[in-house]
Amino acid sequence: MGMDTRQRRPRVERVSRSTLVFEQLNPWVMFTYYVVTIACSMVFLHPIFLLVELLLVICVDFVAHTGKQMLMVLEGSLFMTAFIMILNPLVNNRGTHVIWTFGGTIITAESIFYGFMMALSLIIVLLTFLSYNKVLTSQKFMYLFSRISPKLTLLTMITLRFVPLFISRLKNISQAQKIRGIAVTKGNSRQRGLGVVKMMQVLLIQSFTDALQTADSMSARGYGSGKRSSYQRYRFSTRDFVSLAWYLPLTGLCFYAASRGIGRMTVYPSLGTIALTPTGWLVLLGVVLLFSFPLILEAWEWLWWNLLRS
Amino acid sequence: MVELIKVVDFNFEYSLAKHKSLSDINLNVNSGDFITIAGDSGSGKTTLLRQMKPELWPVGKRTGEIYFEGQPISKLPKRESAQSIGMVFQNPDDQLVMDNVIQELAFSLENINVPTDVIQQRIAELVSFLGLQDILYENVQNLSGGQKQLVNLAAVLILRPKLLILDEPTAQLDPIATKEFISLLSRVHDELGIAIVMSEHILDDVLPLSNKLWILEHGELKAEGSVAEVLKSISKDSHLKSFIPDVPYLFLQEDLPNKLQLTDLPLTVAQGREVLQANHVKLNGNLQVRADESQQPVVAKLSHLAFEYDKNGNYILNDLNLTVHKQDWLAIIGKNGTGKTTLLKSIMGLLSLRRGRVQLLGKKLSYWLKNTDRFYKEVSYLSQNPSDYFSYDTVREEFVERAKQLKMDNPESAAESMLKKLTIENIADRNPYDASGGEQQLIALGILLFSNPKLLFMDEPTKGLDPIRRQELGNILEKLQVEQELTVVMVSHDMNFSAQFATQCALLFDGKLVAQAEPHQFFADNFFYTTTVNRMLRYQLPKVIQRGEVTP
Repeated sequence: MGMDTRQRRPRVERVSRSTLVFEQLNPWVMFTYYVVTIACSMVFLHPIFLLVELLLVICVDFVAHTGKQMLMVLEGSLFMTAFIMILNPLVNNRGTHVIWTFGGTIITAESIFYGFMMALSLIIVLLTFLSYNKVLTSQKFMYLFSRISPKLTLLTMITLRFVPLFISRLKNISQAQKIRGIAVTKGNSRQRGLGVVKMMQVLLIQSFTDALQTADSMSARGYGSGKRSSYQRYRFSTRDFVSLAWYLPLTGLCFYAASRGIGRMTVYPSLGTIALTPTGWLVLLGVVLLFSFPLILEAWEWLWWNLLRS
Repeated sequence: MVELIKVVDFNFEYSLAKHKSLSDINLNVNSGDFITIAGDSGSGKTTLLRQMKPELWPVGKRTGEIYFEGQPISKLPKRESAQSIGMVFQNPDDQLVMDNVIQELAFSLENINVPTDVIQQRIAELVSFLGLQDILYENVQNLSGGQKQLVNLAAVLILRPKLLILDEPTAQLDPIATKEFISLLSRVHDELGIAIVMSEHILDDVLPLSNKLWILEHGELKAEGSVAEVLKSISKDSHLKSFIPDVPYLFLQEDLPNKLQLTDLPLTVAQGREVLQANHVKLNGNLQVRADESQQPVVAKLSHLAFEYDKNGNYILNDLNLTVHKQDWLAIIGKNGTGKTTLLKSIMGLLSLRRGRVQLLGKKLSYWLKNTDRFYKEVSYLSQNPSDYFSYDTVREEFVERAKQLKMDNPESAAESMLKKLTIENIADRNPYDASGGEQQLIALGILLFSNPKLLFMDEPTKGLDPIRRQELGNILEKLQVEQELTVVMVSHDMNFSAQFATQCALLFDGKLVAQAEPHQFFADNFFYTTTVNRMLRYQLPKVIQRGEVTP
């Protein structure tokens, strides 16, 4: 029977085949990649590291065909970068290189620089989520976590499903509220604030009512009634083992280096040097390998089909 | 015939409620039944349906007993219940959980721990039965409402239920999608032998398939039995008779079953016409021709409108022209996805037109958009989702706050008279979100009417309304049309409502408005797109379009 199942299974796989090699790996491996990627972008606070990471994440998004969305996120991040670079110095007065003072507020080069790095790291996380959404489908997500906690998984899935709905709904609500005279773009700041609060309230009530029906539909179909099976059986293949065999130790090494301060630039109290030591370059190479995991798989696939096959 | 469900002396009261939601219900469902439940919103239809599915029991006090296959339903294990009793809900969007169709189907089976190879087989056979192969890998969010509801049905059928419960499954669909869904249900019932219990507002399409009809009113079972019997018994009730579909309604109104000694009450156009023709029955028509407002001043003039969503997308609206006169009630009819909502939103300036000129109340749209405060007072728009307009905790508060916002002298009394005008005084202190769909429509309408708009645009105002509320809404608007010289432009796929109330009808097709005319002219000229009454009687009364026009 084991053989039998494997032969009849490929229906879903055939489709995912057409996109990325990475998607054919076991969901646990994919999930590991995303956890490590996000952690790296937060740990290695160094402009060179961050810029290289950003470039690689864009490449991964590109091969995952998130094209249009990616452009939108990048467009938005320009504003975000500017915003954080302005906001951080205003609230954070640490640092020694004072650029400007006004009315008791000190603007330091350190805080501007730190804001810049925070913004970069945030953009990397956002871009990572683009390919994450594409690669880790709800079925895979369910496979990963429904056994650990069915309730929490249900909650997460409903929440994730609501993000796109939220946006379109918010548009409709703001139009309707505008017509009944509650506007968020007009009047003094108190009126505007009130308008926003009202709108959020309507949005939350509506979404909550709908979420209840989703939960009903799930439990009506037996979700949470005991042990689950999985339509797609995700075996741990040799490929998964080989992948983890280099990926996990490398991750360990990189984080160990980070804990020793390698790949993290000193900002406070005074800006350190941007240049990397030889070990620094080595760790950067490690991070590059970690980030390009999906790209490496893709490149290998390309090589196999184009050069090695004959 | 096996007894699937038996309800004995059942009562239910929601916790915190003051009165019973269901009282003294005694019923049974046999295998092979196709049962339709009707009743106005708030009559307890959903509450009753949920009692038959223990996972979805609402919180409250219940007495009496419900049995499933002879066992108390409360003792039914979750997994057993999930498999034997399937449930489909009203809103097509909210029931979908996974990313694509095949995952959605697999989800149900995974939950009850079916082995992989069996899942494969069950999906394969169901997909062939329902013809889902073309959308199998489609992202569920990209499907149309009708397709979504089809997937929801499939995701329940794949569990091979013995009983299928449906709670107003077609309320959000357009007439064509409704017919498709219902004909599929008849296949499920006839070919698979699954028992069906379904609540519905619009009974025209479902009654010919049903063998039993239950009528609920205020939580009590008002009538129960074979379709013809129940229809006969409610035809004397002034309130409930609006639930009777047109064909049987006309027969009962003329007392034809007795006069002609009919054994069966006709339910479809074909049956009805055949009986009438065979017995040479002559009916009298009394056309209620609508007032011609074309001498009145023009209040809305659209010329050469064009709209597209993407730069190289299709034209949703293309060279659209329209003239609306004061006190007109224009119904724009068209299938879902023809751009009806887009048209209204772009007239209101909520979407940007690519080309064209909009003139409302004699002024250009660009003028109005600079004076939005006045604009939204004089020209109003009620969207498809009335709850978007709510902002406060009670209906009364909504109205009082709106009156205050418009700086009215006595907000409390203004609110009071608005409640009265809309006949919703009974829900004045309730939260607007707890109101039924029909009531929500009236509340939102009330909020907009405070500023005495001269022009009102409405998007599918009758969607999800029961026939009684539908009638009320029509009467209220008709009154405003006469008393406050209100002009109404609505887009709708509800042909009966349009035939009854509109003064002008037009068809939106291919981005243009075609065939604008007085309703009798409009529907009599149509062959497919016309009302049930017209289809049945056109051979003898070609211009009659609604039941009120047939007189003894």
